[in-house]
Amino acid sequence: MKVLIIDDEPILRRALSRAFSAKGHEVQAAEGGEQGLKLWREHKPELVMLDVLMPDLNGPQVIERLGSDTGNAFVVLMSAFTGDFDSQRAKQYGAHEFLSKPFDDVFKLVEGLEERVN
Amino acid sequence: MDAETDISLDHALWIENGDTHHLADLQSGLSRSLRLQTCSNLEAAAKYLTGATPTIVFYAFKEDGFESISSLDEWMQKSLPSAGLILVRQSFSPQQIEKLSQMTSVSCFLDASLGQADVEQALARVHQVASKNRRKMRLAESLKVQNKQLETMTASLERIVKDRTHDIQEQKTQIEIKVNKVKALLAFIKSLSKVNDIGDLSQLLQKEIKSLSKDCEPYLAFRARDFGRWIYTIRQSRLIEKSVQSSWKTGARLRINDKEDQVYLANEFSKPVQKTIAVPLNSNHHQSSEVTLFIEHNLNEKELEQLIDEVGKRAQPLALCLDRALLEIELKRSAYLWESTFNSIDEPIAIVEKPLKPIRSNKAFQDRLEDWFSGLPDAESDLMEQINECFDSKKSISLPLLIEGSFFDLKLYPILSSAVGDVESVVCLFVDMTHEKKLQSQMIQHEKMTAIGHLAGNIAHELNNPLAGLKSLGQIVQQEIDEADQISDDLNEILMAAERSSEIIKNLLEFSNPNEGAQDEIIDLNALVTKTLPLLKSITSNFERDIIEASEPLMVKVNPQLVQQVFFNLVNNACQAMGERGALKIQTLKKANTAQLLVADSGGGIPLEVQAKVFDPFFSTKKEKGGTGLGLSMSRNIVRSYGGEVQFDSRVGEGTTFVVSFPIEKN
Repeated sequence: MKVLIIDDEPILRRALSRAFSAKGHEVQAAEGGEQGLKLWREHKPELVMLDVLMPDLNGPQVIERLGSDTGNAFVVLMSAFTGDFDSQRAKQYGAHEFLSKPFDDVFKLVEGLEERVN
Repeated sequence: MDAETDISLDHALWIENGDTHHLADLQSGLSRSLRLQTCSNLEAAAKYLTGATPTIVFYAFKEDGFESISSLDEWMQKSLPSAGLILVRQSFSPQQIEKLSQMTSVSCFLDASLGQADVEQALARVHQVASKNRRKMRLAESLKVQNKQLETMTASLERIVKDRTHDIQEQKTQIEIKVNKVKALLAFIKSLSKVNDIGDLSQLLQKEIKSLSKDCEPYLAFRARDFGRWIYTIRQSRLIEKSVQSSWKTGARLRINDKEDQVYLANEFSKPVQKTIAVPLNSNHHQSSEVTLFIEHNLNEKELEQLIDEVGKRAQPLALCLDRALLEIELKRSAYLWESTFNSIDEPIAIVEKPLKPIRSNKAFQDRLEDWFSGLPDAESDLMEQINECFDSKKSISLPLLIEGSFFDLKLYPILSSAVGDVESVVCLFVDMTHEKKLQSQMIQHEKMTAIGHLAGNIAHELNNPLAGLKSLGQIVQQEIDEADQISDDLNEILMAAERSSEIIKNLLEFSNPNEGAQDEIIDLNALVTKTLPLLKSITSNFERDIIEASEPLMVKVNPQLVQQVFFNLVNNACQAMGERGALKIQTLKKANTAQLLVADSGGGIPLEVQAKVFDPFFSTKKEKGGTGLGLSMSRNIVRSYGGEVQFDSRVGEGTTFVVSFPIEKN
């Protein structure tokens, strides 16, 4: 599937990209909200890993800006700030799921998401 | 010859005195013109005198008869004081005549040897004597009569004087009685003026009424403005003060033997009451109304009239005195109310006059600030300056004060007795701000902690980002490498380091943002200590660390974050106590049914005089470095809230050991 990673942390972008492409998925990465918007519209991903806190737009704002342009992408909000978010909150923002950083096991993560999206 | 010289009426007495033959001729000659009675001697003459009163007495003088002459003289003066005495003898010698003339009663001498002519001459003389004597006798008579009249007059005059004296006495007595009454009244009024207590007034009234009339009982009834109706009386020398609900009959005029009054008193005092008069003591008094003096009596009409008269004079002063007594009570109550109000105020208040002399102060001031205040230096004190400023400017002033460790906000209020007058005194109100200050400090501390918490939180979150990447990428790379390769081990180390970082950050987040709504959990004290230790690595780096974990789990029910804070606080204190180097021991152990956490340092120890203040909320020996000293107090509160306790053992020069104990959770 087509995966879009929007996060301002380089090593995390790299890690997630590697994790997904190792499983054969097509991965795009954006380093901020604005770039993310652009890539989302262009490539219409099926799965979007969206960081909440970014220097330009934050995650929820990106979703808002896209509106219907989110397509049928499965959106996962990610945050290092524990306690602020949970699945329910994420849904309020228009996402499908919430993950908190850091991840326990990146492989399990990818597998889980593969199942969810399909 | 007139009647006076009518000698035929004359009685004469001839006393023979023995032999008088020689004188017979003379005797017969005399008897021709006089009624002459002859007696032999004095005794016989005396007998004759009972029936008649001669005006002349002839006495035959004997030669040697001088002794008899004196007795004759006596007899004459006694029996015939106004009769003439003629001594007769044959012849008298001149010496005899001289001697005999000395006799009082002798009127003349008759010499018997005289011839007829001489006799007649003598007789004429005798007539003279006789008439003289008659006159004498008549004079005597009229004198007697006059005397008698005089006596009568004197007697009646005496009687008049006596009567008048009696009248004057009477009047005097009356006046005395009146004066005494007035004196008694004045004495009563004077006594009243010394009385300002209703009990004393009643006693005085009782005494007074009894002095007016023994069988009377007074009752003083009044309605006091602020405390209802009362009747005061004395029974068997004891004061009875009766509060009554129902009113007695009122009216402006005196009531005599009104049944209603009698029945009223009988009902109120539950005893039979005799006839009663009611004397209303009305006047424009402020404290009392319906004032009535009842007098129970057993007097008749006349006595009653007198009593009423006397009581009437006493009514006004009595009413005035009662009013004064009630006013006294009112004043005392007001004073007491003011006093107790003043003293019930917690804030110390002192009212000062220049120059800084307290004239009144409440209990709070006396207990807490009196000594300090009196110990203030006279001159050059900021406080004195401000107070003087208040006196001069007539405006209220507020200034903060630190008194013996407590913060006060001193408010100065000038007392203006009139709009234009000088300020005579200033009220000093010491508002204790220590509590507020403490709250403020607590709030600041809380804010600080919150800010730090937020900061730590932010940092932690920021760190989570690269960490997430590190972990994930590490995992991925690890998978792609041959496990046998040394790089795999290296990668493993990297991953473990990342994991540890992650843990630290997690702990730091938990620690700095304790979830206030977090429930108490049953946790292992050992685990909690282990979790916190990494956070303490930097501050404990200078010291030797000895960490002893209990051999078994110590399950306690607490809020983990809070207990973490306590532990952190104790370790922090220990490190600060040791300064550059030392030995730090951290131990968990089980003692009886408690789980204990020990934090021991090898610092300077806590001096004895400081030990007592160690848990005081604002006490800190790190004041210069900005420590606010909240840690230990709050720590202890937290521990105690879980049923635990914080204790310490400290020796100067050796170090301090703090022991936190919790009850072990039995499930």
